[in-house]
Amino acid sequence: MSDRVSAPASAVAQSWIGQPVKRVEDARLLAGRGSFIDDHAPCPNVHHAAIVRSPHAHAKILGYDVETALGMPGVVGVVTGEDVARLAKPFSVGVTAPVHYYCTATDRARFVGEPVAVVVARSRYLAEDAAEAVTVRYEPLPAVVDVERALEPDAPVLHEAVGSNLAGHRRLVYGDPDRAFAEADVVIRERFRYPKYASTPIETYGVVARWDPVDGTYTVWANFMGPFIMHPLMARVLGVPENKLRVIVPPDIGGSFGIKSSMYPYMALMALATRLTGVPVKWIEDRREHLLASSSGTDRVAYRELAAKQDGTVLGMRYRWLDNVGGYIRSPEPGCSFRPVGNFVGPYRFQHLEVDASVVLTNKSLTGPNRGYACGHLYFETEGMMDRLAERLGLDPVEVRRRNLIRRDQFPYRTPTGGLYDSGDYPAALDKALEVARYAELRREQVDARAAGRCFGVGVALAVDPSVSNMGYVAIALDPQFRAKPEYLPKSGAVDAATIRVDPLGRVIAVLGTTPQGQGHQTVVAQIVADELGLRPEDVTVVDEMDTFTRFWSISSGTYSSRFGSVGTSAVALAARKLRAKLVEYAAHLMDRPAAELEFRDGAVRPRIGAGPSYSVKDLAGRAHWNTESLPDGMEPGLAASAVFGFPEARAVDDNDCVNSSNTYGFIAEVMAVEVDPDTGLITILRYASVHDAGTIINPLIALGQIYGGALHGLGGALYEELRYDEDGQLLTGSLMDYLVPTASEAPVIDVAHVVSPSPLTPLGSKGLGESSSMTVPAVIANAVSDALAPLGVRIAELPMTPTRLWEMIERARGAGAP
Amino acid sequence: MKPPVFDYHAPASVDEALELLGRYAGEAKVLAGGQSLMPLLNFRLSRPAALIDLNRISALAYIREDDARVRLGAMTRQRTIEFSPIVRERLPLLAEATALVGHLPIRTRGTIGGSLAHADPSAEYPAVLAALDGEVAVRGPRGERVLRAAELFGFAFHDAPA
Repeated sequence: MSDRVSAPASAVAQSWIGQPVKRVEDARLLAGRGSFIDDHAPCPNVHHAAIVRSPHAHAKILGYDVETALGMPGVVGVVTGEDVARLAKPFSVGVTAPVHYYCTATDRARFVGEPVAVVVARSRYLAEDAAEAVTVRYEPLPAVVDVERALEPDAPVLHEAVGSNLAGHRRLVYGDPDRAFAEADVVIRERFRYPKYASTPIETYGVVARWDPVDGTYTVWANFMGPFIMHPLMARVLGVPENKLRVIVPPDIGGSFGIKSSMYPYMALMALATRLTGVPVKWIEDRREHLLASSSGTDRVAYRELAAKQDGTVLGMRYRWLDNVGGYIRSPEPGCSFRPVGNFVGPYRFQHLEVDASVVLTNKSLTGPNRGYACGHLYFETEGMMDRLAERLGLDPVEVRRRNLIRRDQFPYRTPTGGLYDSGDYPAALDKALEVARYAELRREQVDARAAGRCFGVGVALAVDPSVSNMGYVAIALDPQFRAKPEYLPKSGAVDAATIRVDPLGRVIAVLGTTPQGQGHQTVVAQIVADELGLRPEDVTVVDEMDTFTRFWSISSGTYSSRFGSVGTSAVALAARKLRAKLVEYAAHLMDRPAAELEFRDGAVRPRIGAGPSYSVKDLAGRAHWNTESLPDGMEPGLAASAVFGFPEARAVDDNDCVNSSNTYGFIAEVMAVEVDPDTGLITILRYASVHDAGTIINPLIALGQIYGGALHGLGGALYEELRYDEDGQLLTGSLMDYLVPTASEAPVIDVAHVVSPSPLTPLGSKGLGESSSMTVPAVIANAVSDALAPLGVRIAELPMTPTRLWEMIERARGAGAP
Repeated sequence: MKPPVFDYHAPASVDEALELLGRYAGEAKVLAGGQSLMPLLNFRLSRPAALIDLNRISALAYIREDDARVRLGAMTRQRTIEFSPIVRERLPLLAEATALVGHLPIRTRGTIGGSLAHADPSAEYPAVLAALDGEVAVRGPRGERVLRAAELFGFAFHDAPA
């Protein structure tokens, strides 16, 4: 364990940490005074881009006619796929298959909405008028949208160089799954389907790009959330050194939930457009474009097998996944299959696992991180299997889980896939969820409800909630032989940085390199710094405007993967502690006493024992700034400290395909009661208990907001949202009329409680909580609905559970002669 | 999602609106609350030569009770209908259905005339008009006529021309 790790929050004397401090961000956001990408022109003479998109799911591009468009009012230039192919390189992809992914289509369009050209004009109106006049000559090709159909030998192949639609495949074996299945008393099998859905943030993508012909620097303003591994990727595509590409993120981003990590191809595209037209170019994605072609999670077909003993002990599992990444594979995919590798086994003790993961190309839009990144898929399947096991053995679903949970005395727990669960008490959290939900009472109510002919069900779902991905996990998509080559460079890491400065009047400015999208970093950082330096949160100003030229950043930087509550807060705490140590050392010099006799308490440096003079932060700050002669020999002038926090357990994938894919691991236990109207297929949520263990909770109000948001997001995927395509690859749900997003009206009441197992790996004991219930709601509501419909013999294995789909299942079951 | 170019007129009277409609000979669209037309324009699915904006014609916004009938002006907002004591007492179905139209910002702008003219088969008002056996007074350059639901709605998204 690292020597940087010290006592958890409870040892800190003052405590703003843990208080429901109101978000300082809200005043400006609620008053319409936020500063978003579309709010200001960061440079003069900004022109506007409209993107010409493919109307075909699959088509050869034969040529472009741009003359008419170029002659239209206000138009300064048109960039086509020919320009892109000539001037840019394709993006690096996370697989070895030769998928050539450029920021527009070049030879072929491979999904409806794929960019094929960009028109730049004086206004967006004029640009859209001219975009209609751009003629692209296509030769339509047959399309394929279904993952299983795409792998059939006669399916249309999207990328001739790849030769099939299989972009990547890995078979991962942990332990001895064959023996586990041979020794099993019970084997359960099921096929699951998980839908393609996104997150529809209120603010869409936005980019402003400028090129300086004198020094050759691109400046790109964008509401990009990271990860900043995409910065060197973009620089390579543009053919410039990294210090000629400046990325600046505005102070406010209107939500992202993972989706804005996938906007970087548009940043490169607008950089090319500004280079070619000679004017700064702005592009604000509209809602139609966002639904058609931004990003989403994958739709997946999963074949699951579970081997267990008669007493309910799970011996092993087999997962066979087909993940649909759309027309190309865009980094960080195939994280869709591998991001949860360290927590593939979830909260259970079984040791034998086989994972067969196929990453499949089809004529759908591209995929990427979406809140819960692949964990919603994982737990929908695993928790569905646990219920099927319980049913087979005649056990209560709670009991079958309890018999398999990792025990409290097993932490820190090394999973068979390489994950290191840092802390937890899973049985206690499960008990808490049962208590909050009044589980026994629900089961009694169910007996009465069923007797009255009502479809009343109770579902349970458990999940390990991983935060702060170790970016090294992406290499698991590559074969071990490939990773063993001498020219292959291993990858690992999860770092964040903070700088804290004290001004001459003793007030503090904390500077971060994060890209918050509504998470409340300013509020939380002020709480932490106030605790460490004995100040009030309002004494701390927090600046989190990412700028790759002025902020610290590294490959894993960015606000994604529930990072900030764990790694970002750690960097802040460490920087504040460094600064505090410097203040103590300086005061010791002024007092002419050994620093060991002093301590920092109640906002001042004082003797540990007995009376004596004390120096407040304000006093020390004034002296240090105004009179540098007063500093001890060898002390750097100025009162500032920076810290870079990195997790030592973020290691590269090993030869056995094991990797600690995240760094802190929380836990979620949920219970939901529902009633289903069998005549309409409508689901009503009657009770929903959600218990989380995210270690130390820094701000319970923000934690509650994340849990509600995550739950609504999961509810979207479970009940409402789906990017549906017809078999020709046309999007059927291309507006918010058809793509239904849950709103406050659909929000259930959530009974939230916390169990606190502080992380031993972070200075404050905190873990991430940003994705939270998005990964459990699909599982818990599917299990509750299955339980409600068990008397009819209906079991949910496919989402979303729209009323139509559910009603059809009920009708089929009734027709089949179920009671 | 920006509309193509169109002329814009905001007449102050029905007669003026009819004169403008005649001038564009079928190439103009009438703008009421804009809750369907504006998205259609932004998607460029509708490309009228001109918009005739009825929002300045105050004479078209009313709810009156006479001759044992309730008369609603075409430009009466759904939000007004939702909270009208006359509607609630005389046409409770209409009041109840109105509360189900879209959401609050939509009802604040949306009008009964616009919704009936748009003739979306999944919308509330065409169904309510049919259920209550209501009548619609339609005015055009050639005069006025009164239509029932069956006569008004030809097929989805199309109503009978005035």
